[in-house]
Amino acid sequence: MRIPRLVPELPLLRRELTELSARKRTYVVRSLGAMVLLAWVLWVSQNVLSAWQQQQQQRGMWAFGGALGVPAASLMGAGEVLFPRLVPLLFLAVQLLMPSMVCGSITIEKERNTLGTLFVTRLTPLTIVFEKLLSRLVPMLTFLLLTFPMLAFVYSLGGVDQRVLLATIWLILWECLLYASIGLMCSAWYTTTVGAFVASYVLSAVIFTLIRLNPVLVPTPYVIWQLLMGALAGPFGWQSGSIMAGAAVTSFVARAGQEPIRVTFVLTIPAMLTVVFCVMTTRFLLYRRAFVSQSSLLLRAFRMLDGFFQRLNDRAGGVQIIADRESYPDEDPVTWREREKKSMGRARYLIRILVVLEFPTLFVCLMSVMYSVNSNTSSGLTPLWLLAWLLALMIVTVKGSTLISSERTRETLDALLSTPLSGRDILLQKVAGMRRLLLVLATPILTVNLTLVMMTVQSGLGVSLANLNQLLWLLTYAVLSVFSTWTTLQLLAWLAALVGSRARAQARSVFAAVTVALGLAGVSWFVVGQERIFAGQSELRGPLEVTVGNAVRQLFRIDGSLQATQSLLWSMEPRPYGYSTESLEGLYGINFPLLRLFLCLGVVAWHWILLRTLRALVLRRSQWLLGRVDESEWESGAVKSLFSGVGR
Amino acid sequence: MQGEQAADAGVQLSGVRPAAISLRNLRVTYGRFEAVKGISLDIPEGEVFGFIGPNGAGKSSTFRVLATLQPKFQGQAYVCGLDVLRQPQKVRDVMGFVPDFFGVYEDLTSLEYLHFFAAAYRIPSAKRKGTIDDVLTLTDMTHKAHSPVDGLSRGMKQRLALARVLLHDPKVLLLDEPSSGLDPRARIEMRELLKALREMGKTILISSHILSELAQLCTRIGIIELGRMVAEGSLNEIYRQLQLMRVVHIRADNAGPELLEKVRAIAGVESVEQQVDRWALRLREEDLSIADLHAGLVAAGARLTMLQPEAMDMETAFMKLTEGKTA
Ligand SMILES: Nc1ncnc2c1ncn2[C@@H]1O[C@H](COP(=O)(O)OP(=O)(O)O)[C@@H](O)[C@H]1O
Ligand SMILES: [Mg+2]
Repeated sequence: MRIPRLVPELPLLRRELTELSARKRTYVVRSLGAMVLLAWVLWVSQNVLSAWQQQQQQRGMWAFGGALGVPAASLMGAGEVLFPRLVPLLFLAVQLLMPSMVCGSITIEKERNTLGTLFVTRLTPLTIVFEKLLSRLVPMLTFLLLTFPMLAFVYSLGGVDQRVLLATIWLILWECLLYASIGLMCSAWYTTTVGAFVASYVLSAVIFTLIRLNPVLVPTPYVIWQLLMGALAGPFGWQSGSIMAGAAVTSFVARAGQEPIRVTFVLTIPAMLTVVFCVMTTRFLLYRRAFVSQSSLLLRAFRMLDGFFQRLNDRAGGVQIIADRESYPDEDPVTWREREKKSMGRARYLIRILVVLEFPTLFVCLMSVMYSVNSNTSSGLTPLWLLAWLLALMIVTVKGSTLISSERTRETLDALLSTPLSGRDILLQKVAGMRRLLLVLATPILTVNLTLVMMTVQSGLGVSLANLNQLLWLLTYAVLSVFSTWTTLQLLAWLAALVGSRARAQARSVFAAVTVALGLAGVSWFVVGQERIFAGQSELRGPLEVTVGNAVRQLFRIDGSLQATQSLLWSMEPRPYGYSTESLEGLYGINFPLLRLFLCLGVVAWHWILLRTLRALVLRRSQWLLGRVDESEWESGAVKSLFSGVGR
Repeated sequence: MQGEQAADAGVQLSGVRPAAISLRNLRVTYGRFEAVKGISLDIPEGEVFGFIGPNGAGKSSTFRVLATLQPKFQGQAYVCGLDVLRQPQKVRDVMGFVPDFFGVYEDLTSLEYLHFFAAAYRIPSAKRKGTIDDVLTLTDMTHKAHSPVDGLSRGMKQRLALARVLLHDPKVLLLDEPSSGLDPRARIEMRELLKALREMGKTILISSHILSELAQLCTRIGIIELGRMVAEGSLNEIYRQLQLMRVVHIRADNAGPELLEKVRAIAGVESVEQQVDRWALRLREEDLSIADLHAGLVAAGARLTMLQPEAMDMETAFMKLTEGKTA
């Protein structure tokens, strides 16, 4: 990419962009991303437009366009419908992509030991920060520019206020800046790209959760845009939020219709201040955290806490429960090290993580149980379940993918590989070392699952504890829930190990594994999303088709077995899909809840088979994954050379 | 142990004793780039073989093949008669490998580190403590046993790595540039340690890009360059192979054109260069030993006040071998 000399000198930006453009990955990712985004845009607009046309037809508007013989004319004014459906995609793209693009910008220099050379130049810290920021904004904006023809087309259809369009562009720009500056801040704080990557997504998830809770408290550009479109909704709603915000704000926001630009600008001020704050923090951290040692931040935080407790103990004369002393492995050295010496492995640290995760989960669960007695929706817990599951997915994937690559980057792998431990042993022991972590991560998920059971019992959906049959049903659910959570997390761990182990750099293995895991989750979500298209016709289909269809879809979901246990819960409902159980039995001549149980069992079994297959595959490919000679592999090599000999 | 074998290790005995390390036309390619281009090598048991070459010559690639860390290569590689490709597991039992760049687990102490590898080498847990004490003593690391390894100096880390590969008492040691990056003191200590291992009868393959380091330690030397072995043998053999002339400086109080003619006429003297206060004689050592030269000079009537053979110059040999071809 050649950068025209618009501004006299931005050497760092120039270097960054040249570096980015020199990588083949940049182009592949960018064109793939653009294709996905465009396809998505087309798909959405196709759906929206056809629905819109149908509507118009029903209203008799179609006749007008049809009479002229110009079908396009029928789309006049469709922009009004299309615009609010398309723009969120752009915001979503920014939220998803921006952190990953930015998080490595400073940490990579730390990892390569090049940050010091940057400091001794005459660039001021603030210049460095700005040029880093710009260097990641430029690709993002060019990426977004690809979709601007689409926006222009939508605009040309009419129905979109020009001022709203301008305000939207303004807001997207600030959304980019906001997420970029957050990512940059993480990049300045952390010593590794992996750390910055995880942290920036965790921060994004926090923002996302806050928006779900009360959008008014976090006026990100996206929230403002929704406000502008009058499309804001959340668990607490805009109304209650605006009460908190005060009448003045409410009346100000109400003017958005007349003066969108002025209102937008004023509302963006908090976001701007946040960006400024992040940039200043980055500048502040840039020097201070430039040469911090690479040892795990988490471990050090824990050690600090330990020291605190130690002092507390000393003063209070208490007893120390678990002493920090040397311990030696007995049989499985690799597992021993993962368990005893890693922050994510030691029992005492894991217990703390568990407390940190479990406490809020329990709190929210209890609140739900207490407040949703009368509403029969257990879906209030779905965001929490999703959050617990996404967190588990992220942590397991990151940990699983760095099992081998962290040793590779620290150059400890060769020593391990030249011992007589077989590749199979090494991989098995590594994953076994993750087991406790998986337990910890499974706990919040299971908490939500079991809360759902309690709520089912409590909300009196025909389930009473007196009924032994129902109790058995609940027990089945609990067992299956534990088993499926375990299967799913293990599946993720092995998947991450498979995807991440070959990579030379830790950051790359994490990117690859997280992309694959989230990609699979996304694809499976998309597969399930297809249900929505046929939502209109689902009334035509009977409960049997829907149930079987659900089971089939769950087969392809990475969290499918988790989902299956959830749908087992539904089978406890007395009136699935509004049919009474008796009528269903009359309709199909089968025991409907039992059918569901079998389908769920089938899905869980399928995921278990998937897990075993994946595990076997990883173990079989241990030579390739670890990059050394292994006996088991040699046999197949011999067979291959045998055949190649025949070929010649 | 095998101490007495080491005494005569300098003698070529590959026919008599089984080769501890044996390479047959080894080729290693990375993509389209050929890093090792057909190396053949036999190292008898108890020998210390020095592998010398500039950076990028292919030393580490060869080491990785022998350490079973390189699944793709052509040719054959045997350690103690075991095929690296077919019996990697057995090879790992008889071999200890210290890579050129290596990290140690930062989260462990030296003792935990050694226990980790003792378990990895499947040393019975009853024997572990004794074995670890032994290797700690041998490598003089006992006083650092309880220190975290990330606080150790580079020299200490190197010694810890050596302690690690000695745990299972391997017959063959593969040491890839063990003294690179060490300060002079640590370097000398490392050399002493390696000498002790040689006395114990271990077969050692050691690499370096510094010649003088290996000259004192090795029984044989191979010079590798751009993936090819350009010279191999004992130090003297290498000189002969390179046709390097021995330079002898003499001073005589009856030096003059007459004597100069006579000296030039001595068989085996290649040339005589007149310097300010001395003459530098270049001679073919295989034709004329220093003692014969002395006798010849006396016979020619030279009244010698000084006769000084120049020290063997390995750097010159190296420069000559790798003339402008370093990768
Ligand atoms: N994994 C690899 N992939 C590609 N090229 C490599 C790899 N390892 C080494 N090389 C190349 O092979 C050549 C020989 O490397 P190496 O065996 O490490 O040399 P030495 O140890 O003698 O310095 C070098 O040019 C190096 O760049
Ligand atoms: Mg090397």
